[in-house]
Amino acid sequence: MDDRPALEIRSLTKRYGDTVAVQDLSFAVPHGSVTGFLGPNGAGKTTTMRVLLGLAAPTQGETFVLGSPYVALERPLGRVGASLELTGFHPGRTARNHLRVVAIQGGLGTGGVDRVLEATGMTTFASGRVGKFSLGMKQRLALSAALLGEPEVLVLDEPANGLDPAGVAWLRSFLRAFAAKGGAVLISSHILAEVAEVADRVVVIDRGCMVHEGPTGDLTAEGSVVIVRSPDAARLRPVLEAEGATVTDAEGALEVSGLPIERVGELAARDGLILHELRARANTLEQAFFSLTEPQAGPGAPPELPEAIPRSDLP
Amino acid sequence: MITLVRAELLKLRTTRLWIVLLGVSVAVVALIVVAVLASTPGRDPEARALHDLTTVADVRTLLAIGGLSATLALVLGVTMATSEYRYGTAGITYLATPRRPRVVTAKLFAAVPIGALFGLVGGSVPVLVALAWFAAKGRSVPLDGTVPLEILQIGLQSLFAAVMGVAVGAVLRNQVAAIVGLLVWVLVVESIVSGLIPVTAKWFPFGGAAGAFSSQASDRLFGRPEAGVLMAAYVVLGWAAAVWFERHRDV
Repeated sequence: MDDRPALEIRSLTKRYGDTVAVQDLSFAVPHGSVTGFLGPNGAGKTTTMRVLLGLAAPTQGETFVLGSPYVALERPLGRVGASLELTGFHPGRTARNHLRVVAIQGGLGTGGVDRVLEATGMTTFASGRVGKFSLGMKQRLALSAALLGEPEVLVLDEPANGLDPAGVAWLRSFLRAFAAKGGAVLISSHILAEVAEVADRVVVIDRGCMVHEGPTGDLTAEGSVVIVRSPDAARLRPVLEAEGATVTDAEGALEVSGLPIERVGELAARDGLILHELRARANTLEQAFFSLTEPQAGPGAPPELPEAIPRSDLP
Repeated sequence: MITLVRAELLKLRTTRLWIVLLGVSVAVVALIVVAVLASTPGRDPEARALHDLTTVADVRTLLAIGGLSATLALVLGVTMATSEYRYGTAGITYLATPRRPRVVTAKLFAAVPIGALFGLVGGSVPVLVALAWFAAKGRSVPLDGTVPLEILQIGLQSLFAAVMGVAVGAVLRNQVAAIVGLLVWVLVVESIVSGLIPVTAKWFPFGGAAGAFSSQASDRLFGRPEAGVLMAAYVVLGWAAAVWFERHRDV
């Protein structure tokens, strides 16, 4: 297998006039893995994917698909399958004809059309006009088109949008199997839970900038806290703070961040302090995500919800 | 390139618009021909000639009504380019074929047979209607070898219109703007400017260059060889503009 990453983005910046959609973004997607590409709506995920796939020109930086710019690939659909949020369908064309058009355009021949329709559960709807399809059916059709060339790389933009639970489960198992066979997947989403169950690695961007990259587990480990319950809490607290930890009270326990659980136990033992409970509480994915992509106050930020509604305002 | 042209023709065949427009073209031409044949001509010698169709020259004049099919071919050509953006299929098109000039070129080539089809069908309708009309009256219609040649010329005008429609559609991208803009150009701008400044008439793409291939061509226009060269120049210019815009555009 090629040593180069399946997908690579180097120092990518994309501006639309004065608006910076993506700012100095770099990351790579290795073979045999699923990489989640996360960020809130408008973070720059789709723009990054469009540049990666040659649909938009970068303002600065470079992107590579299997070692080449996408536009330099011969018969790219045979190597890369892509489903982008903005990719549309002619409403008057049937699902089968849509795939026939894509197959011929991609130089693939139409032999694979029925295979991908069956793989995505679309055989029953093959003769239906796309204009009458639900969002979920359109997603399945977009996936069918992405799979037409039996590619080694998949770039999927919000592929679970509109899929029913059975469809989401199918998608996850399909992507896992695809990566297990050496395929590379870049899958974007603004819903963390969608990606967390299938991605080995995550790249999180916010307002066009990278805010996190690493194994999915790291996202929950970072920012995790240690819960300590001790009858000697008043003595333990300054000991932990002296080591640089941030300690807060939480329902009769101490919530310690900034120190690994092992170090907290060692410090308590060193000073002969009794512990009734010592455990790590992993950050939930949502907590981690929100802490990484906190909305900035400003004209574009959503209004903050009041912490509590005054009793006098209640009906 | 042949594969890409096949894909473009498949795009057309798998939607209903082309057959709807062809049907509209046939219906409109047939209606106008019937109206001409059924009307009371009065004393106008030209109207009487069309009404009676006693010479082949009269038949060729009637055939000019079939030239309306070029307008429908123009609209179809525009939609071949602009529907990619209207329905968002440009993304999948360029994912499949990232070399955009090849896609633009394939669209222009695909417009040739479909435009010619519109012209040949539209050009044949007046003859068929006239044959049926006068057969019902127990009369024949005078025909000779110049009639099929005239129909071929309408086919040429129509394919030119379809190709230019693709080029303008690719440049403008907005379907409504491209169709309205082109129709205003063909039906209003060229006529008015040609009327006001007659020397410009022969340089216009539709009424001038393509118009030289009509049986109604005036003396103000180029001869057919020169007009053919001018049409080719417009096609090359349209292709170059379409390629430039598509290459420099984010999809």
